Amino acid sequence: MNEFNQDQLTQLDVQYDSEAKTSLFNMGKWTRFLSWSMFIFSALFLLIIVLGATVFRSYLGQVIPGFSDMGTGIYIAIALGALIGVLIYLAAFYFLFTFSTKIKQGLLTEDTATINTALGSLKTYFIISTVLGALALLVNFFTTIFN
Amino acid sequence: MYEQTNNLLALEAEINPEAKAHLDAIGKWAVYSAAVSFVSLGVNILTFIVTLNKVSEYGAGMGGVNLFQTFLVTVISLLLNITLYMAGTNIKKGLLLADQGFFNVGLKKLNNYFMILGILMIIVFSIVLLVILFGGLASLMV
Repeated sequence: MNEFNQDQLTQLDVQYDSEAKTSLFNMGKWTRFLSWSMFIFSALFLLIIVLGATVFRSYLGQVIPGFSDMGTGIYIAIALGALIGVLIYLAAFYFLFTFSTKIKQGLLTEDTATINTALGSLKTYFIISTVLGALALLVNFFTTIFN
Repeated sequence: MYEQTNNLLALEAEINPEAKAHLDAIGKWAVYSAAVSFVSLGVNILTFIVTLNKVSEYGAGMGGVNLFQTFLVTVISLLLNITLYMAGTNIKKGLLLADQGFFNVGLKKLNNYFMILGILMIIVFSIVLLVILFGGLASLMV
């Protein structure tokens, strides 16, 4: 009787049915593609910063008055800032990549712990991207006000 | 292999409390993320209007190009963030009311969100490749 009641309660709650599992599985495919794309774009961006240093410096010299007189230190500071920004951004996509690999593995092996790890990674991705989005919004807002 | 995967996906499985907590947090943060993006979009539109007023003396042609760009970005961003917002609210509602329908719609919307992002990424990749290709061809011709 108790087992019957437990079964009824389980049926009342949400489950990973075939539709939910298919959505999660497809999500895994798209997030894998997205995270790889972002890894490639970030690598290209870093490569451009390193290889195009001379071009960037002359461009910044044209845009910012007196930039050419500031020496290489300011360029290194800007490059380091960009590097830190890219690394924080990459951390978010690392969690998205973890989600993509773990969710596929978890669903195929029916391993609850792996599925939970995947969902935890997706949660962390959303937290990091929301905080970064809010910071970008604040910067944009104050730039608009002061301009 | 494909059939085996489909068979495994057809089986029902219970969602344990830990997974529920993660899914609830995903729903919550998805809504926050969409809200931040909506506000950001508003600020961008405001910035655009202010900038357009400042540069209006340069002629209408430049404004027309910017207007089209802003319109395109606004439409894509709205579509993307409405999908994310609906995903978050449906997942949360599904878990709160123990409604499988809401829960499935939420996950489907979240899948659509990542799919739209993926398609946008393919478009960006194609544009970058075309720029590199035409840039290379142009440098060969000079």
